[in-house]
Amino acid sequence: MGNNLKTGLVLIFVLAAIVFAGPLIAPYDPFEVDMSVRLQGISLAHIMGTDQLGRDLFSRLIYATGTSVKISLVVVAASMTIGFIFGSVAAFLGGAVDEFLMRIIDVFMAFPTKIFTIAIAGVLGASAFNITLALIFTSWASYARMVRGCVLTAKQLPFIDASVALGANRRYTIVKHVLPSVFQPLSTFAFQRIAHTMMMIVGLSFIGLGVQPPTPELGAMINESKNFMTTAPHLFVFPGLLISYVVFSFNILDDSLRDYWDPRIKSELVL
Amino acid sequence: MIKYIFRRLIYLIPVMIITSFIAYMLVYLSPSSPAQIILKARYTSEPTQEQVEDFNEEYGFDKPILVQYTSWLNKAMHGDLGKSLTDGSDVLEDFIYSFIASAKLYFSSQLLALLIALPIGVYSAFKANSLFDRFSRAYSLVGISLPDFWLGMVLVYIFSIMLNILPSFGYTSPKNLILPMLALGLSSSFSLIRLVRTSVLEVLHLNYIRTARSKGLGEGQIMMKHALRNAMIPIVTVLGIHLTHFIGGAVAIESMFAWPGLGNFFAKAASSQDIPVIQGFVLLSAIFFIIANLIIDIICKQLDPRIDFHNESGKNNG
Repeated sequence: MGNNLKTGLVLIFVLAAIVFAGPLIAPYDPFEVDMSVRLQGISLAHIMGTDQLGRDLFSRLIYATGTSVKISLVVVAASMTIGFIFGSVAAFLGGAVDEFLMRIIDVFMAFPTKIFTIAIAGVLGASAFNITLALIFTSWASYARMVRGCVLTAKQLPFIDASVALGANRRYTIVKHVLPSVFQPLSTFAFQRIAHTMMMIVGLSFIGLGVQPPTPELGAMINESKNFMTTAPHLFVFPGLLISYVVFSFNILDDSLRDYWDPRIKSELVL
Repeated sequence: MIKYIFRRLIYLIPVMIITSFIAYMLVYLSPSSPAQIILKARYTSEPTQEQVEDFNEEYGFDKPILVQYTSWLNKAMHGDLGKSLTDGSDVLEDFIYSFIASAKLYFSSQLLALLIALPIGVYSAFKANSLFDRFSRAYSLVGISLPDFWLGMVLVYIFSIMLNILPSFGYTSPKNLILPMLALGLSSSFSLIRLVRTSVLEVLHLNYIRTARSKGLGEGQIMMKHALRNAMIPIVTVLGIHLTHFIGGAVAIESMFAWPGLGNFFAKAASSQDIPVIQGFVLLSAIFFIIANLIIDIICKQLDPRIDFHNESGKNNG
């Protein structure tokens, strides 16, 4: 299992390099159209070939990975923050406030996520910004419910009582004891959601409701490649492999981090 | 039990009302007004101010939003969800038609996923840490990372383009079902293998299995008679949850194979801003989703009386 953690870290490090240093490595401008070299296969000049407008696939893939990963991270970070605020306010204040907030969360969770996201993205108009908004709008509720559950559980633990009994005031107890016990499950949960969110984004872009061409994005690129499947299969193969690489990296890191942070789970699973 | 179901049903009423309100109000998120969207679709050019006002008066869009909403809800309760702006078809009929298409694809692919995942997962757990187990774990971990629509494209490339034996899209013949079913079934089977393995492994280390073993029962009997029965509880739960996802869950596959399912239909309506279809589909799918979740909860409670739905710490929410 320790090996998985190392593998995961290496994969994520390479991914970060692609996302942040990628534009420096990219040999061509991802928007540069050159019809004289359209739909070419793998060659020395274009190591992954070119697309239907003669744009260099390798350069476009580097930028596309950045687009998909950055949107996923923004969606997860924003929903985590909103969920954290809603969930902890509900759990700490309790009573009518809790009841009211929980009903709001219930309503948000009553919709099938994909249908709800598609509806919002469609109504707002398809664009990278709108798909980000739509995904945040539909995913914060599950974070909120999770945080509320964690705070409620933490509040009942004996060491919280002990802290109060020792004379700690409310604020000290919350900041020093309750919140830290929420952060770990919350970050595990959020981490797990990155891969899932990434799949949603490429899926929605694939059906034309997410990032719009000519902006390079992995799902949108596969969508564009549909008409050239027979003549230029590299156009859908490479972006697909890259999506799998990103999702695989997050999955394997998530798996091994959970084992690393919580050895009790490991003993259950591996025994 | 009956008391529990009754309580849940009562509690659904406010959720349904708010859900329907949100479904109706979704359209007002749009930067342009309903009249502008509808008239633009009708005349294929920007409508004049006069046209917009006439339209609003004719269709009641000049009335307060709450009045509009109640009249829409009233009609909806009588089965009238309006007509599509693009082809004038009845929204409820469209929903039922694509619901059936989605159901065909989804049930067959989930069955396939189960047929693949059950033997592999059980054997993997039984021979934990063997070569087979390692291989199947790696296989499912890689598989989970493949987007379902991309898997579909690879299948199309192999079976439709290279071998030319199966159609790549269409709905009419049973042959059309094969590729989308394979794509969706395979991609669901990957996570199911992991789930089956973990569930069986957890059960295998419980005391009553040790008892069965010490009584001298054969491994096969232990597996079939004792272990699998309890391991099925989480598997059934997750399969149930998967089934509720068939609304929209297969949207990319459906659009890839031009399958006339809910996801495909809805995505088309959403991108052409077909207001009545968006409102109707969101409402109907939310109602379906809510009821399906209720049924799953009830089945789980039947399977395992220890499950307590008053505990909201998230342990049992899968």
